[in-house]
Amino acid sequence: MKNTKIDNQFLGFGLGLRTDHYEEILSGDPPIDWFEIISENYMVKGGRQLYHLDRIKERYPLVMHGVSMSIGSSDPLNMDYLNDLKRLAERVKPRWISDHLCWTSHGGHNTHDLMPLPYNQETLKHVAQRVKHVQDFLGQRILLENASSYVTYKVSDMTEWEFLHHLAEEADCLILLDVNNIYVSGYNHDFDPKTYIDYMDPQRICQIHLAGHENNGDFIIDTHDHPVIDEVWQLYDYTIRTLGRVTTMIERDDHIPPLAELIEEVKRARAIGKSQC
Amino acid sequence: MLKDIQTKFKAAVMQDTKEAFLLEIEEGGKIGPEQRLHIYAHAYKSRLVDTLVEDFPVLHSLVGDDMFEDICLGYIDKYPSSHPSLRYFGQHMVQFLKETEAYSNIIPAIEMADFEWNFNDVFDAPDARSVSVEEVAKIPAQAWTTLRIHLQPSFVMSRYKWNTPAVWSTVSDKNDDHPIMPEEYPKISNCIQWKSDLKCFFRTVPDDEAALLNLAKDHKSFPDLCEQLLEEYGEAASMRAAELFKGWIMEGLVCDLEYLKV
Ligand SMILES: [Fe+2]
Repeated sequence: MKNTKIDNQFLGFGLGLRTDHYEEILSGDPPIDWFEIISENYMVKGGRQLYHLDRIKERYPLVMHGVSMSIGSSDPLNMDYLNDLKRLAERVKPRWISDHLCWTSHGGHNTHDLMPLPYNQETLKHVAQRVKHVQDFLGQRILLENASSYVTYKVSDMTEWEFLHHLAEEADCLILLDVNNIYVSGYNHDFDPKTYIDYMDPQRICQIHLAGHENNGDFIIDTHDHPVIDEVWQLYDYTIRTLGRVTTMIERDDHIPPLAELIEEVKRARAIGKSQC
Repeated sequence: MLKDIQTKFKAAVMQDTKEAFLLEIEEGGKIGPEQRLHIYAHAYKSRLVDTLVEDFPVLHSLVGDDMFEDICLGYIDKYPSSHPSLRYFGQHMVQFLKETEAYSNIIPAIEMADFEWNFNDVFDAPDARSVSVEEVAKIPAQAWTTLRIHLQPSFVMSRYKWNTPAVWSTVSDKNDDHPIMPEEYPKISNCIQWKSDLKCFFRTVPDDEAALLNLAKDHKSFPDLCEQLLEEYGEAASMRAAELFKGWIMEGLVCDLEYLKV
């Protein structure tokens, strides 16, 4: 994976593909430029999920987004998982593959949650080496996404944005910036989200997620089950003014509303995107 | 150091042994370390419970909310997820119910868990086409002695002591005005589940048909199937076998036919 030029394709404005919307997407022509699939949902041998996926991939560009790579785990990389991921990628031919900067498994058990990493040199070295390994295995750069977090470790000696930036440099990987997650973590850990965005290298930012959450007053739980809030729209506006045009999508994971409602959010992202370019 | 932190975090979330991990968390901010950890511990349990609720809806309504919650929490404790996909999390449920004293005698619950999990497997088993009546008509008369039937890759057969499939139907059908209550069959029955054209099906089958399906699954030849019925049906054995075979074709149970082209 060494020394190939980074070529950030701009895919436009997309949406996370959800089961509830299959029929509507296939029977209509929704104004969505591309879809992101959750890789694990399609790592099966057959059934409706794959059937619909095969049809949707004929009509829209797709990207693959995983939740279980566990890139920050101290367990060895799960090669069964990576083999399944590679096989799926051969079927889907995604524009790119992403996962999260976190750990999800330990001691052979899965938490099925995006667990935060301590940000220090030891972790940086460990994760960078694993990212390189995965990229060599998949034959392409991967994107890592910043997850929302609720704890900071005493052993961390750098910020998440410093860590992410240096990791991308060290491992030669790309970044999926979740603007909502930056907002949530900023709220929960008392930092200014703009500081995070300012630190990013535009060259490495390949995709943006926009999502909603639940504010509990003292803290925010990142539920991804609400519309994007105004503050996050403003932060998105700031992000693309700072980093330039980036492929963007709306990510809704729970309480899935009718497609039309999400299309309105995609339109809003598009309008902000256009005004800046 | 990383491994140490992950070990402690995992123990705090999965086994509720928090003390060691709490010392790793930075203080400060609007909420304390305990509450921060609680967000993760709560998310862990509720995500796994939600998965079981989704995978075992009829078991849930059979045993009621309280017992189902106990089942879930006991299960999560005993069988932490060992697969990257939540899809497989519930795979040990039948085993768990059988080996846990509180549930090992509740046969209708164990059977329902089995039936519901089978559907989970059937749903995303490899897809295959269904053999048509026309294809069967094209088998040359002399080739029938070499015929081997391939059942759908999703095909699965179970044996139940209770009226589990009927209860599943009645509970799944929200508009059923005369719900069927669980009851023990006078004798064990066979139930098959399969997928054809992306749709999942099930039905109970008589003993002679179950025996034939088992032979077909083992790729035995059509004459072997007929022979199985000889004792019970005598001269009518091959007619009975042909009748059952035709039924399987109509139901999309057969995905391929293999015979010597003469
Ligand atoms: Fe995201």
